[in-house]
Amino acid sequence: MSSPHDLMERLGAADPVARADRLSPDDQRETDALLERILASPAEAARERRRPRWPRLAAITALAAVAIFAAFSLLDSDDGRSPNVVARAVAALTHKDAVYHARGMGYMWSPVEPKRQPSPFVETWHTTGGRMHWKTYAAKNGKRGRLYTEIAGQRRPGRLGGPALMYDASTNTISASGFGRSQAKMAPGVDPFDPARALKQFEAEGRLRVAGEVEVDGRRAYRLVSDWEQAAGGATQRSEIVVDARTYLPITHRLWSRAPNGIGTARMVWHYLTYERLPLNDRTSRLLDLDAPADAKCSEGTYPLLRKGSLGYPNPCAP
Amino acid sequence: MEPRGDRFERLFRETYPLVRAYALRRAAPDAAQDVVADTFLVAWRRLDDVPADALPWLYATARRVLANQRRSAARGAALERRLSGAAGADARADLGDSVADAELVREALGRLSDRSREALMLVAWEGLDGARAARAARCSKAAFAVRLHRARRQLAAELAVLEALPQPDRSPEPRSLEVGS
Repeated sequence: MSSPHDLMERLGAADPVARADRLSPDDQRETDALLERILASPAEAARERRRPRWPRLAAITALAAVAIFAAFSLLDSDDGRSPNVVARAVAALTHKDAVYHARGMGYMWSPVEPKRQPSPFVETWHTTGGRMHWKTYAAKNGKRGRLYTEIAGQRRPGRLGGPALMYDASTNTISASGFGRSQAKMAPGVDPFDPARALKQFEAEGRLRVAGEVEVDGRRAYRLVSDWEQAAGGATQRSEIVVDARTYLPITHRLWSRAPNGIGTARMVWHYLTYERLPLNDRTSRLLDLDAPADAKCSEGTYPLLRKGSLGYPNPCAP
Repeated sequence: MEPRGDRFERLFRETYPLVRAYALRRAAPDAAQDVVADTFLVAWRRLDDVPADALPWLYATARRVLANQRRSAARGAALERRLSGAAGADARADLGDSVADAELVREALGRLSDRSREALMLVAWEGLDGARAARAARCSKAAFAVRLHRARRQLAAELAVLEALPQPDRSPEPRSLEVGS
């Protein structure tokens, strides 16, 4: 095997266009012509046009992925019903006596990985009171595969942790866990499976607008858009939630995140196969509990660690 | 303050040959021309965002333009030929030992992941140091160092495999044909 030094020398010698930085007279003429064309193009006007192209581009991509959006749905068109639509969407997602059940998966594009990166398949149940049960599965051709992990417990908005138990299917083990920090500093709807809190906040601040109607799979829907907002770390973010015009529950969620230098923009789209509101009762409240197999092992210390917090369900690791 | 047009022209004159070489290393000549034009058009429109050390920014932009272009299957095939040496007429003009070795190295390079290949090309062909290459790859210096280290190891391993093969079995089958991630 070559030494690193030799290897890089060999690689350097394999450069197929080692002298391409020297321009022939023909190249020079082409270069001058290109410069002339660019300088003649309207830099500022083009810059202004860039913003509305993003939703169009994202929606076209989504069209290819799920073939659902009508082509003319992409133009921003605020209408007179905006306040009602926003208020109804927020209300639909903040019922106190409900369990919200969602299933879906997402795709992400980033400057580093411009190819579409699929997320795992996710299924969640949650309440507005902070109870959350989150299951992550392998995604096989857009469908649910084998279970990876699940986590269930009580979230504490704005804070790390929250008592929770995690089940790792690969080791058949339950361990103490916690939920990540709330996305308080991020744009609305960043939490794809519980967008209510952010929607509520931005509705109150008047930073959420209805950007037109679309048709999704034959259903009428509204696009709720938050414009670019400053987020954590100097990044700016924008999100769009498409809600069903009848139930006001989410159908699709898109997020754009632009790096502080303004160059790198990552985007993500979540498609919900299910997003439903179930009545909170004995049967549905059990959906919020950890669903680990009876023979799952408990990691050492799982019970004492959680004794002070309330999981919201009986700790299966209790002695 | 320097007028916008003058500033862009200076940037263009200084970096055009290097950006063109970058594109030619990753795409067929006709596609490379488009990549260069689109890259500088982005730079013109976003001149205020272009940093003083513009080259890594331009390479990163060119990589994104390339990635968009590469969604076309025809251009992917052109890249395959280019990396495997089949389309590199200039590189095959002289079939001496050094050219044979260059083809072997390019074949090994074509077998690496997009990310590893780009790391190696930024350093060995674009001649960037670690910090600038990291900026072009849009990652931290430490992450790039790790990426480059792994890429070298992978390239060495691929070369060892190729060198151990009898000549007729060295069919170019790059694992991934997309550069620019």
